[in-house]
Amino acid sequence: MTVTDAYVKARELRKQQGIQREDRGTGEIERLDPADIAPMVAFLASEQAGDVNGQMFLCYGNTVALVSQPRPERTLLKSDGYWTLDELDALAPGALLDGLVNPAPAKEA
Amino acid sequence: MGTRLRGKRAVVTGAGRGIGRAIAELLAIEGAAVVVNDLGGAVDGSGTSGSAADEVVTAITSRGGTAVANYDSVADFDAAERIVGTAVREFGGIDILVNNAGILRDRMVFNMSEEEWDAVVAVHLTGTFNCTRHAARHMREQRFGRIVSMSSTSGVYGNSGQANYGAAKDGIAGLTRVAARDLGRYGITVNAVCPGAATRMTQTVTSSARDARSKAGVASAAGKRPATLEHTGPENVAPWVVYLATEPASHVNGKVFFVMGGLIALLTDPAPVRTIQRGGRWTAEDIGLVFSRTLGMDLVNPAPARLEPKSA
Repeated sequence: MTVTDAYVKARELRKQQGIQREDRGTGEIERLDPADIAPMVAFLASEQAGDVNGQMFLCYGNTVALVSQPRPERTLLKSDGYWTLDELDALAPGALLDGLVNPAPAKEA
Repeated sequence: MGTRLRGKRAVVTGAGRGIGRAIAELLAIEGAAVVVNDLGGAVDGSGTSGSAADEVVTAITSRGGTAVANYDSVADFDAAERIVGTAVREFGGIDILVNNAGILRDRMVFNMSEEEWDAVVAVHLTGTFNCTRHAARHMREQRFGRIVSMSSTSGVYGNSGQANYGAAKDGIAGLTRVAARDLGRYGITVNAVCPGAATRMTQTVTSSARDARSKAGVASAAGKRPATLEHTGPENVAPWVVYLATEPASHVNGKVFFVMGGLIALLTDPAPVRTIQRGGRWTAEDIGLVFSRTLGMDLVNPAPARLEPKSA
């Protein structure tokens, strides 16, 4: 099975299960060529990339991107001890969870 | 006793000590019936004993809570089915799964044995898959479930000396994002928590990973953390894990959080931060021409070379 075949199969699997995948802007897999990956790999193996270390890159089509590592986006801080569930009930919905979108919300039965 | 989780059935793996124990106890305090899973091994995964899980069950039941012990290994697919099956048999189902079981075998990557790699990946990553997979069968059927797995910043921030652990914990973050999308539509949420806590397991980090790092002359990415950790009991992680299983968090799915002491942080997902694009396929040479002023801008080598290359 080629990589393209595998992606097509994964897409069929999602379709069967009725699962929608978020659009990541990478376009249709059929248009992406495995040969697009080699140039960045060759660059990373080159002398010039000698100080590129511990990084992750995304390669597809004619695009190469540096990928960020997870970092704190929203925080809730209590300076004098651990949180209690009562406190979290009061503060977490506004400070941490407001507007979060479930990527696969429950379907009504 | 609270009532937030009254009538819910929970499984906590690796609940004999530390973070897992604190989570099991808080789930029980909130009214959940809890399977306390722990095979009672040493931090490196060797040996077994029922006493750790039994002690937690006694602590919970003596306070009026409901708990039973299980001593199976999460690393074995069929044994993991028995862990989940214990909740189904004893309590009639499973609503909450906390994947917490873990071991450590720290070593620099060039010295790590196949066995050290396999053992750590088997317990953390495969164990999280095994329990998630078996629990998801029941949760999908009942259209409700809450899964919280312990990830770690070890992989995210690159703790030198923990190739096996960091890879497994980053793997759990990836598994969490995928499983959240596979299971969300069935009323199941899957989230991960990176805990900071001083436990039996982090005590060995001081001795083994720090030794491994100092022998190799490598600085710790988390060098400032241990001082904070000493003021961070294992019970600091439990409130957020339990909160994720309660009603107000029912829309939270596929997220990774960091919890240490009084700090709770929602972490961003990895995402493209700088992009180069052009009309046709790149060449290695052309990437080289633009790299340092585009993708490579401000990149810092976390462990720059210090030793002269050996002459061939």
